[in-house]
Amino acid sequence: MQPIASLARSLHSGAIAPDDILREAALALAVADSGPDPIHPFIQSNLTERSFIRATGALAGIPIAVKDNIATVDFPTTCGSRILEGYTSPFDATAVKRLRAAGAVIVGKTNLDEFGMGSSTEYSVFGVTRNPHDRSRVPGGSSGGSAAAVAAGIVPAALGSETGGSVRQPAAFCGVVGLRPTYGRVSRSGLIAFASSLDQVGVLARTVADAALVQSVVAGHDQRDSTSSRRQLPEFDGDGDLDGTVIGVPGEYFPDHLDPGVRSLCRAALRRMEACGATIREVSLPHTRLAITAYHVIAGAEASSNLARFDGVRYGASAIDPPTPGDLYELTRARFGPEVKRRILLGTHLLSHGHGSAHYQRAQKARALVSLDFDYVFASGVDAIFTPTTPAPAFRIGEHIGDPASMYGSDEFTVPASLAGVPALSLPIGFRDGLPVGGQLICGRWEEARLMRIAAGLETALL
Amino acid sequence: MKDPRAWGAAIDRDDVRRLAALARIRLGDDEVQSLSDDLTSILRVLLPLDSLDVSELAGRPPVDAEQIATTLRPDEVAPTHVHRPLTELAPSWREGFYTVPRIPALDPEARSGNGSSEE
Repeated sequence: MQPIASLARSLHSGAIAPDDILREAALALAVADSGPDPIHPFIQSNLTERSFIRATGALAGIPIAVKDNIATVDFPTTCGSRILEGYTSPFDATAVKRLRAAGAVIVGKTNLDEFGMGSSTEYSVFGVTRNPHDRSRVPGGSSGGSAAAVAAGIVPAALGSETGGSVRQPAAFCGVVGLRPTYGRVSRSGLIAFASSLDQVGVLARTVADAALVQSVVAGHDQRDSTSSRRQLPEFDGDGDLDGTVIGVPGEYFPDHLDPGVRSLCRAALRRMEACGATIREVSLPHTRLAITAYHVIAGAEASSNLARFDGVRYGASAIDPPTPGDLYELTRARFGPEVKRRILLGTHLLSHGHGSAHYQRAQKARALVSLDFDYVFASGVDAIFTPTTPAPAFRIGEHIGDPASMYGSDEFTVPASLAGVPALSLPIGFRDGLPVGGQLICGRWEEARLMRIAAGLETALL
Repeated sequence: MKDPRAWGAAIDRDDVRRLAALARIRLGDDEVQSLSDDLTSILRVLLPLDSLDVSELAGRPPVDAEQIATTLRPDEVAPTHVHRPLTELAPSWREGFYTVPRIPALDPEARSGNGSSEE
């Protein structure tokens, strides 16, 4: 599948019709899902010809996939969970509504770790998604289906969602671009809540320009989300430029356990940026080591509150013939999968009697310190921070499933920007033994245009 | 006696049962053991935050000031954005009411043995 800009040109000139694009997508999906180890990016898809495709709009006729924790009226929304069996949302998420208004064709709902909790797309009741670059490996997660759908050439772009790195980490593992916008940039209305102070809708695409285009369509204030900002999304003309930029490199993101192949690709990327006129400056984000703990305390606490609504009354397929209301709640909620149960019980533990709110408050303070680290670096004249996206390339399916705590480490470089609410983007910087490696760029709040300009500059420099 | 407030304290099977009761989740015996193991190992991986030096935060707002302001939408009647009739969202619907499974504990007729198990 070509990038959106060239598809749009071909559509405009009449060289191809929208149905041709859908046929190409269907063919790519058939290839992806063939063989003994299907990639399985979608929970539901519809790639058949459509008579109602709009002829106008920034994304007219462009197929886009949507992570299955984002509400759509024409597909069920499952969150990869048994508990939402049979649920179809009565409304579109705001981001989906804006895609459709721009002419995009929503072609399917992508697989994810149940409720977005996971880093491998192995925790879905609909089965694992495989990495298109090596089907024995995970695509990352939780937006693994969206990353795999883009990497397998089925769609040029997909919506994902992030709490602690669920767009950037799978983007890195699958060799695509993944953007987490500033917290508040995109409405969360219709994004099923995991941890509300961290959740954000993000974009996966093949190129920085495509990610920026889709982002420009979905961003903006929405009265259905009181945390969505009224700020205008700054214009980004699609051109990259590194000349005169200052790139900060934090030592905390290059620890001893960093994969040597990832380290050398990061060094090579920094040399390319320097050759394009960027100044590389060592910086420090000293509270980085607190981030994973602060993240899991806050996310666990917020998840245990948010997921209370899945009780068989408000949401969730009711348990059959419960003798008491308590049984109704408990038997309905018994359908959560293992990782969701772990996170809810972790959050319940941290918030329960005997702890007061001490752990949560300390985690919020740690979060403020992590956030302040970024403020100091950007105030010192650094335009963007460059780091590896993950400590190593994609791991094998099943490698971490028996030891949930070890899985949490794959998010160590993505969680800090999530806590700080700053925009961050992962883009492919090369391959280690055939596996894609992602580099991460982080900018100050609301600085998406700067982030895109620098990312596009690096993308070009690496060609 | 262990201090339940201690960060790295093990989460034993009784703790898991108590947490599951609070969270309203029915667990099987095998799940109780694996959750006890998993939660204990997760809490050991996470760092204790007890001794955090927070002096740097003195006098600062807890989050980005822009995010503190609550935005309200105009208090005006507007069409609902629900795409399908509400009646389609319920498992069943009769005479303007949702009908739900009968729960014997809440139903005097069922308790005296006269009720049907439907609606």
